This record gives sequence, structure tokens and C-alpha cells, in this order.
Amino acid sequence: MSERKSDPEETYKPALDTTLEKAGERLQEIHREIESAAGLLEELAATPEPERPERIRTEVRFHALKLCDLLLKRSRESWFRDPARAVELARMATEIADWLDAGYYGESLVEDERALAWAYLGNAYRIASDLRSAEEALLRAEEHHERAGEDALTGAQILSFMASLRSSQTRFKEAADLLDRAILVYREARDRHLEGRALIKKGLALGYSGDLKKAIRFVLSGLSKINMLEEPNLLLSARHNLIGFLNESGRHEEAMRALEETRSLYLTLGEQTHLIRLRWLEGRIARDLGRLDQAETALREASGGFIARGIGFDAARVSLDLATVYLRQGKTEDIKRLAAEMVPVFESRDVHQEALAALLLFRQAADAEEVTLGLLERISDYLQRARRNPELPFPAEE
Amino acid sequence: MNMPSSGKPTQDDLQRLAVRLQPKILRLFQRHEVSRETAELLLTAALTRLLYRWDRVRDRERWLLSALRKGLAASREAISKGAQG
Repeated sequence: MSERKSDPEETYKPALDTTLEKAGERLQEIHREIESAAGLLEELAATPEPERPERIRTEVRFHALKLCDLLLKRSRESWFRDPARAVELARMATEIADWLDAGYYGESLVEDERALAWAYLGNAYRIASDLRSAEEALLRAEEHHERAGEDALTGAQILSFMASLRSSQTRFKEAADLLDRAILVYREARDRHLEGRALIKKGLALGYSGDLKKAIRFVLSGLSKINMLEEPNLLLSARHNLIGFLNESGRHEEAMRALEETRSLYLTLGEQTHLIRLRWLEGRIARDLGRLDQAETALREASGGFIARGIGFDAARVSLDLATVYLRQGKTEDIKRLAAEMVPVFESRDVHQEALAALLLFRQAADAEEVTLGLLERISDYLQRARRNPELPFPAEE
Repeated sequence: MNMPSSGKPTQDDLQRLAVRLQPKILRLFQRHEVSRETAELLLTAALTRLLYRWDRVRDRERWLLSALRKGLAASREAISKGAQG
């Protein structure tokens, strides 16, 4: 029955008071869930993988939304450090989300949690280079999101992960369109930081597609919105890519100045791979400024750093950059030596067959003294795109 | 814009939110002429969801009002479908 034209305070205040009382009680239960989540996760992690689904199914204490949230958080923390672990954690989250009690949490919240869990699993698969499973998981996420009543923020999260997948599939235009939709949601929700992050991601998609001018504009716009204290790694990644785009668009001096301004951030965050990427970028800019000796030193260091850490794709791309320096220096013998060293090193790393074939092509051209800048750029560009997409074939020469 | 105080909501957070939003929530229910029971159901669902999503929602006041509006629209649609059926 509807309540017409009465005093709202008199009509609805009792409902508000009752709701607040119930919410206060629920809050205590949420606190208990948060406090027990870490212990439950440890127990699950210590359980052999084949036994986990049965434990999750039969032990009600694991059917907790905050445990699911914690698994997603841990999965996120493992994305780039340990992609296989990220997949495992997100998969556990989907299994737990399946058993959440809709009578207790509400149908909509349970479906929303399932949507998030599948979305995280999809993104973890993408990072682990399993693009087909990533696509399937993200479709499952969308189904649950629809059933949940389409919470805008969860929707934007799925859009953002889907955009990352499209970028990995080199479908950059679609990635940018998806990010436009996510940007609108974050703007509407007045989440400046996430809006900034989505703008940066759109800038990266545009940059990888070759639209450097727009890419620079979007990354700068995103940088002006993010909270750098909240995600310093995002700030560094955005600055790093911005410097690369400046350099690629011919603004080499500006890129070098921006790099100097960012150097302290690389050092402060202190991760070894960041420092190797800094040397790589320095080498590329120095090369493009014609400082070939400086470029050679920096690129040699970067290549060695990546090889030592088993990061095959990036090591290969740095070596190709080094080859462009040798080419300009007329060091044909050094190109041959580099090509001969590369193939055996990368055979044992994370480089798939199609990529290895591209590197063999480089070796053949080096042996025949037929290496050109065009060939090196083509192989390097291919390796960048094929990194997370093992099914991408090496394009035939146009 | 209210920034997240922490990932874990407290009773104080809840009280502050309720005090600030009370006039708007009451007006919203009155405008949609919903029953007291429906109001309680919708508010309980939205608030419970917000408490679980506390660390993901930056502007919580806006989120809660938007969730209530969505719930009210869905409730009106269900009533209208019921009347037609």
C-alpha cells in the first residue's frame, strides 16, 4: 500500500530507524567476516588443490563474501608477480562465490560478487596469456552482472578488464570504446582516481595502435586525475609510457627531460624490473638523439637484466633495439653475434614458437648481412603485440 | 565527495551517513509514495550492499541514493507489471 502526502518524517522515520539498527548488527557480522577471512584463506591455500572444491562445498564457514573479496585482492596483488597464482586465487573466489547464501547476503549482492570473481579470473587468465579462457570468464562475469541488477561500478570493472583483453588481442579501437563507457561510469560516480586510471588505459590502447598524439593527450588527462599516493605504480607506468610515446612521436628532447623528472620515482619505487625498463627507455631515447655509444651501454644493461630474470619477450625487444644501434654504427659483426646469441637464450624462456620463428628470421637476415631497420621494427612490433597472444601469427612481409 | 575513511566501515561511519542523508531519503520515499514496508526493504538491501562494498565505493552518499532510486524504479515496474498481468 502506498503512503500519500503524509509527513515523511512521521511515515518513514520508523523504517529508517529499524533499518539502521539492523545495519548496525550486520556491521558487526561483517567485521567478524573480515577478521576470519585471512585465516580461512590460509587454510584453503594449505589444502591440496584437488581437495579444495569439496571442502569449499561442504564447509559452510568458507561461504563468506569477505573471504571471496580477500581472494580477489590477493589475486590482484599476484597479477604480474605470479600470474599462475593469480589465476588460482581468482578461481577459488569463483568457487566460493558459487556457494554464497543468497538468503543471507541478498540475491543481488551474491550475483554481483560472482560477477566480480569471474571478471578477476578473466583478467588473471589474460595476464597468464590464456586469452580464450579470459574471454569465456569475462562472458560469465557479464551474465552474473546482468542477474545482479547491473551495479554500475562492477559494470565498469568488467568493461575495463574486457578492454585490457581487447588490447591484448590487438583490437585497440574496441578497447578504447569500452574504456569510454567505463570513463563515463566513473565520472558519474565521481570517482576521479578510477576515471583517471581508465583515461590512462585508453591512452595506452591508442598509443599501441599508433595514434601517439591522442595517446599523449589521454595519458596526461588521466595523470591529472589519479591519486598518486593511492597507486604509485600506476603513476610510474603512466609516466613511463608517456615518455615512450613522446619519444616515438619524435619529441626526443622532451622525452629525455620527462625521463629525468621521473627518475626519482623509478628509484623510490625501487623494483628491479622498473629500473631495467628505465635503462631500456634511456637507451631508446639516446639512440633517437644520435647518442649511439650511450644507447649501446644502456641497452646492453637492459637486455642483460631481462635475460637474468627470464623475461624473454622484453629481452628480445631490447636486443632488437640494440641491433638498430649497431646497424647505425655499421657494426655488422656485432649484429651477427647478437642474433646468434639471442636464439638459444630465448628458446629456454617465455617466448612461444611463433615468436621464436620471428627471431630466427632476424638471425638469417643477420647471417646474410641483410638486416634493415624496417625488419627490426617489424619483428619488435610483432613481439610487443604477440606477448600476451601466442596465437598471433608473425605477419608476412608486405 | 566523501573519501573512503578505511576499507572497514564503523558504527560512526554508518551514523554519519544516516544523519546526512536522512532528509533526502525521506523525501525520496515520499515522492515515490511507497509503503513503509517497501521503504524498509529497499533501504535494508541498499545499505547492506553498501556496507559490503564500502572500500569500493568512493562517493557513498551518491551511491546509496542512486541504489535507492534504482530500487524504487524496479519496485514501481514490478507493481505495474503485476497490475497488467
